[in-house]
Amino acid sequence: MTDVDQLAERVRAARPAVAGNPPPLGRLLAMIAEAEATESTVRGKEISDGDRALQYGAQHPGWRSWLKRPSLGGVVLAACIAALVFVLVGTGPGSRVLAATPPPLAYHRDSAQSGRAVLLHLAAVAASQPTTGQPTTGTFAYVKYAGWYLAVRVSGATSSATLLPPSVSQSWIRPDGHGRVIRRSAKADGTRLTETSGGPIIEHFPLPDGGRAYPLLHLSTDPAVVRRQLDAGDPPTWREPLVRFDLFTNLVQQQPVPANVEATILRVLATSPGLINSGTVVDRAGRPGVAVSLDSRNPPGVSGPRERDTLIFSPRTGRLLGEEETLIGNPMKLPVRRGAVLDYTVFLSSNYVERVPARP
Amino acid sequence: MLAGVSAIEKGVEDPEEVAAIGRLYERHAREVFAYAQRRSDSQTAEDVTARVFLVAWRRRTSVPADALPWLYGVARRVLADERRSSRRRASLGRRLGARWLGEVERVDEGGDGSLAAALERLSERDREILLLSYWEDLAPEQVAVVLGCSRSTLAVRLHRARRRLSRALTDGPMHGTEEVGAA
Repeated sequence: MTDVDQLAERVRAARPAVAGNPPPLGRLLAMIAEAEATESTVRGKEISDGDRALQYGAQHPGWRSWLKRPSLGGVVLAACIAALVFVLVGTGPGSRVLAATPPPLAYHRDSAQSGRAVLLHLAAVAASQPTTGQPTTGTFAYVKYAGWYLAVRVSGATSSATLLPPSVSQSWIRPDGHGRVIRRSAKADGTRLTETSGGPIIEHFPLPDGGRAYPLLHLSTDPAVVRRQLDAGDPPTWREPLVRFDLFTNLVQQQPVPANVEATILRVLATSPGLINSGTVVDRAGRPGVAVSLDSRNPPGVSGPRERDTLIFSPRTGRLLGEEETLIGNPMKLPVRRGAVLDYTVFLSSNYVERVPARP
Repeated sequence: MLAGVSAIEKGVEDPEEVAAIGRLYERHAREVFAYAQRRSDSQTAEDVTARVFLVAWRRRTSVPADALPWLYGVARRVLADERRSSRRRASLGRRLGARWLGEVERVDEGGDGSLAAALERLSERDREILLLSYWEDLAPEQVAVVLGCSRSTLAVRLHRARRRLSRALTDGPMHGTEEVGAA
């Protein structure tokens, strides 16, 4: 045996034994599903004539973050939901299997008030609520929310839906925007969501590669500041009032919003044209709410399906309870019926906490 | 049907693609996990394994037929990222870096820590060439794929790595670095 052979044998013999097993395949598949959901959104910004994917997202942090920072992508804002659908879906014939979307909530219109009047009333209610403190350095903004979204993949003349289960997410975000998100599957029974005790689907700290950290927003009760924040970023060539609804929802999803700040936001939102009083409703957490909606508009020169974005508020506190997005108009090639729920988010609790929990 | 595949095959992607990544995982996950665990710990190895195959999924059109060296190459980079981020967080990085040395010390027939010390004194590249060759049993052309170099370059590097290890063993654990030894 040569010296080289002896050396090789010695190194081989010192090879540490391996204990344990690789993670189950299911973990990889869950990561793939998560990655696909994220990446399909990103790919949606770069629409090609080939395979195209889009995702309606309510509770997905990537999607939310994408919308949250208009300055990072002015192209996103106005056309973020509707325009993508319009372009992606097209108008040609194609096979279509309708997706089993969640049942829509039942709204009861029992008031002749305008949507604007409802928002202003809610603003007054919120303004009368006690105000919690602002974040201090080192604290985490904790938000717990549940949600579901429909992901649609359009390939050539066919389209198909990705039906991920609803989930309950808890996020802890530092002022610099980094943090941890733990997401678990939820069960849906009709319109009611139930938390499950299943293991975490995803956990990351800091945010995963490719994700951006979005610092917590400095909150203000100055209407001019709030208006600027809601209209922030590079002005896109086309935008619509609906975007403000999205940005407000993003904000509530990322950090606690004091009642007085929310009151200011609602007053700014109340200036939006096209507000609809959608009446009273019981949300997916079983809470009574009042609903105000906005319908998306088509960008100039584009036709296609549109969506209705509905914000649900607590009539008792004026606080935002959740958001629902439904398809209005002709679904065209989307594999859903008119009126189908495209996504929803239910806000469950929020607070500022000093630390994140240990690894579950 | 692979366990778990049905959970996403209807929605996320083409079922064939999902089945293919499942097959790749079943074929090589243990090897990738072992590779990572020998260089870190079980928890890190689990994370690294999952991340490696997630990369394989994202780059599924460019995974070569002989996938294992390619997967090791990804694992190597993922581990490096892990160590960097671990160092930022705490001293975990040092622990990750030191664990395999303790294992080598424990297992090495010499029992005097000389092999572990000699390996530690090698550059990361030299050490990885040797460990890929002798721990992962890769052929030189496969090691070249992992390290992203040509086969001829790898042959030279492998020769030098062997020589440096041999010299480090001869010099003993208390003597200088490889550069000192080479001088």
